[in-house]
Amino acid sequence: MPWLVRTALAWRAEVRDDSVPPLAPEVEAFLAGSRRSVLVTLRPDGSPTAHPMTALCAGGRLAYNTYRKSAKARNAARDPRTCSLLLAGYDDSLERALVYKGRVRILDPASLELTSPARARPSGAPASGVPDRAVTRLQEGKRVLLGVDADETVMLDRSSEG
Amino acid sequence: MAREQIGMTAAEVDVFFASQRWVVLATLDADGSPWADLAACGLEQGELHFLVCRGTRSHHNIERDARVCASIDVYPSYYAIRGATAHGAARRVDDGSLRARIARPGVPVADDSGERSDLYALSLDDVFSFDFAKIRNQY
Repeated sequence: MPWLVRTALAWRAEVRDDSVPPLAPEVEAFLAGSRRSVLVTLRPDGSPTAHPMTALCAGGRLAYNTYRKSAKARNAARDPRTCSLLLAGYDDSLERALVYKGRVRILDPASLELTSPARARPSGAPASGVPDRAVTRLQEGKRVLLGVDADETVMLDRSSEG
Repeated sequence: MAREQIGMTAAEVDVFFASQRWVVLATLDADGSPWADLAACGLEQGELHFLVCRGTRSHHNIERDARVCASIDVYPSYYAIRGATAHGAARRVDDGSLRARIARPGVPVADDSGERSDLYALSLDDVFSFDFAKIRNQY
């Protein structure tokens, strides 16, 4: 079983950061329940590129756990402007999606509360938190937690369309 | 240590995109910041084609700056994760029959009539992809 799935100790960021303006309740609820996302960053020439990522919710904002040297982290360090599209899951349901446009900053993992995963995940679904190996690499500085402060959020609701 | 290569071949990318009905479409707002949306898609003649409804922010963006990327991943199980992101300049295509094939019923990210959307083509010359089945050490 892969480390992403078999982890017994994951953590979720439960502490709200007062410096972050609160999200609309509908947006926050969707963000809290969504794991599937695509993060769009800017390449050095200003063109867009996209990174399918597991979404996290940290301190009341969207967050990503990634390697410090990854293309997405380097792109965000050069230009923090990003836009993410979040979906409810991998079941191909496109009825509702969240567009989350914002600026990335590196979060201090020490400021976030560590908890065990409190809920069961559907079989095969991505972890709701950060696996223990990733926590170690966060502490070592090999990985970083990218928080995205929202500039604009848009709920896409196509439930009434064909 | 060299990073393990788990990308798809060009042929595998073609098969992968051909099996998808929609993509996440990234465009550029007027200030150069990114924007993301969903778009119905199909692979035709070796290019990724996608539909964008007229009057939307994505449509305005493409008409102003054609640089886009289209991305999709699938997650049936951990070692079956696959994904691909294509980059390039979108080219508008005026082909009613092709547009009708892309605007399939049941894909709620474009109008089925095709009358309120424009069809664009994106070459697959600049693609990043991953296929977790190619990870050597699977647990």
